[in-house]
Amino acid sequence: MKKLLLTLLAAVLMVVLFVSPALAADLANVTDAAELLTEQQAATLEQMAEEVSERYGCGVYIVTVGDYRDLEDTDVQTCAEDLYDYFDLGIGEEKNGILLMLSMDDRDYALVAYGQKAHYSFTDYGSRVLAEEFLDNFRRDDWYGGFYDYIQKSGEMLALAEAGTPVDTYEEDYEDWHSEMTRADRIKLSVGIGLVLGIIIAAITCGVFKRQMKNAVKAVGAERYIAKENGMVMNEHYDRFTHQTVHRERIVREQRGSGGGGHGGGTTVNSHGFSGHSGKF
Amino acid sequence: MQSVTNYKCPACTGPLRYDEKTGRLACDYCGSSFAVSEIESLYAEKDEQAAAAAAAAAEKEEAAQAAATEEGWDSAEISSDWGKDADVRAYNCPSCGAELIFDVTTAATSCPYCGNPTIVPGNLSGTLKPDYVIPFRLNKEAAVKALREYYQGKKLLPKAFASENHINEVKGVYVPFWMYDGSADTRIHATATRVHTTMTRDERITVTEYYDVYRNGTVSFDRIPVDASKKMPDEYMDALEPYDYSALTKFSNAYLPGYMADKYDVSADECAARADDRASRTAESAVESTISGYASVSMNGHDMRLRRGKVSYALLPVWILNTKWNGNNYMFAMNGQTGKMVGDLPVDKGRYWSWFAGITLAVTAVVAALQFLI
Repeated sequence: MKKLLLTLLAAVLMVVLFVSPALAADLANVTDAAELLTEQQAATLEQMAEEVSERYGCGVYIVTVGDYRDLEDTDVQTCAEDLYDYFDLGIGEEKNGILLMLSMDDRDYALVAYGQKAHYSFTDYGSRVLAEEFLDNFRRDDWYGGFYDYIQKSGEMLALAEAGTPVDTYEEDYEDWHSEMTRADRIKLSVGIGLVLGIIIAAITCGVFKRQMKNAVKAVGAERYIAKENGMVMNEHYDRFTHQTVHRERIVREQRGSGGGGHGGGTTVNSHGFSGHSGKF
Repeated sequence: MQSVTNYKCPACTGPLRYDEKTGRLACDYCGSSFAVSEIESLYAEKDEQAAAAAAAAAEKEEAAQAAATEEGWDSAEISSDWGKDADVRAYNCPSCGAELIFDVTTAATSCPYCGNPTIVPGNLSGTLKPDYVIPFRLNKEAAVKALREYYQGKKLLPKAFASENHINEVKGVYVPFWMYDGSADTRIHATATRVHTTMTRDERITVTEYYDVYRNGTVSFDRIPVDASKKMPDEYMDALEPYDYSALTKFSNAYLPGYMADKYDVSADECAARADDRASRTAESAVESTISGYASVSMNGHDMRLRRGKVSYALLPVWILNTKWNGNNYMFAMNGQTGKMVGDLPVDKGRYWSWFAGITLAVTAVVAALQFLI
């Protein structure tokens, strides 16, 4: 039954994508083709997503599918971008919006944003922060919890961006540091660091010089007097395995996006105008 | 008063000295040179004659003293023999007749009056006779040159030291060494681990395998040298190692002319502790090094049993250079066979702090500049 529904959705999506783009405007904020949610959960999430989208002028979307390759044989992120394009998602002239797509067969996800407002609100760093919010739920197959966190966190991030402080890092910190510190402060700090480093290097170097002045030291070993023939004979030796211990540690993976990573802060936008990333959950 | 030996040239009676380059005894007066064995056999006979003559002279002297006592001054409080109350002995130089006062451990030296190389046979004979000697291979000029080179490249050496200090004394000394053969049985018990890590999609799995490791090895040593002279600082003599033992030859007095030589004044038993310590450390680390391929090794216990073997007595060649600078004496020693130089040099505090400040400032400047460039 489930497989049949997935196939049907794939067929519908194919038609929508490649035959009749006009129908795309009707796609809801939450499209659960993989049937992860109950009707009530889907309705609740739909309402939440609509409210956030309207309040901040940036669409918040969820699409779940069985296998994205049924839609197009590329990668999950490209598939999500194409979905976004062909369903004509987004709000306003800039088509601002963010789409979370889940492909269940291989537990792939893609998080893509489009439009100036979305790029400003969901920076590279912010996009990963947002992913952390829902990935822990998805790993436990808590689909509703994950989508709920996604919409809620998206709302918070849009609010912060509206206030002029989008969730971002590095660049922001660096610029803050530069703007907050005066030139005199920076000189003092650099000189301080240089001085400490200089004293350490000078102490090591001068220590080496000083040791060169005193080379008369007592011998402690007799390596060079080990007999040339049969210098060392092993009379008995063994290495017996006794037991073993096993330690398991859960890996917390840093999510890597296919849209490029901006380690210096800000948002990386690809040639199709999308930012975001993809990964496994 | 005892007798001393002075090897004379059989051709012209000039004093003979050991030549480092040829390994023969050379006469600087007529240019003759003789193999060590030639002079040895020649002087074996002469030594016997000299001993007999000395005994006769002693008897004669005693008789003369007895006659003088009957009617002479009261000399009862004057010591008649240097050697009875002090660690010195008196000898007559066979070349010029001057009375030479030696430390009891001195076995060879030069007469300060006529410069003749002189040997005190009694100090290196019988049970005191060394088994081996490594003859000098480098001469006095090489030692002085090596000292000059030793000053090179020393950043903290006072600038004036190299030019102003003057060498007070350069002497070639045969230093007595005990050489210990032996072996060390070492048993080591340890717990070792090997760690394997595998990754799955969600987990890092670390498997630690534990092993009971046992090693029982015997490490044998040949001729660990320990300096047997109190006059020579142990750290200097240790630092002069290694000597090339392929040049070790059976001892003969004939190698001594032209150098100073001491007999041992620290017994083989007293020195054995140092050889034991060196052997133990090396044996333990050699056996321990066979425990390999593990991520960690933790020692549970070890046991060491030393098997002491043969002890040999050898004289090894050392050039001693004493210099004076700013009222202080500095001693340097050079391995007379390999040329390795050891000695502590004075540190110029001004130079030390100049380097310290210079490096500190340079690093500070570079770090500050980098901050503005980045």
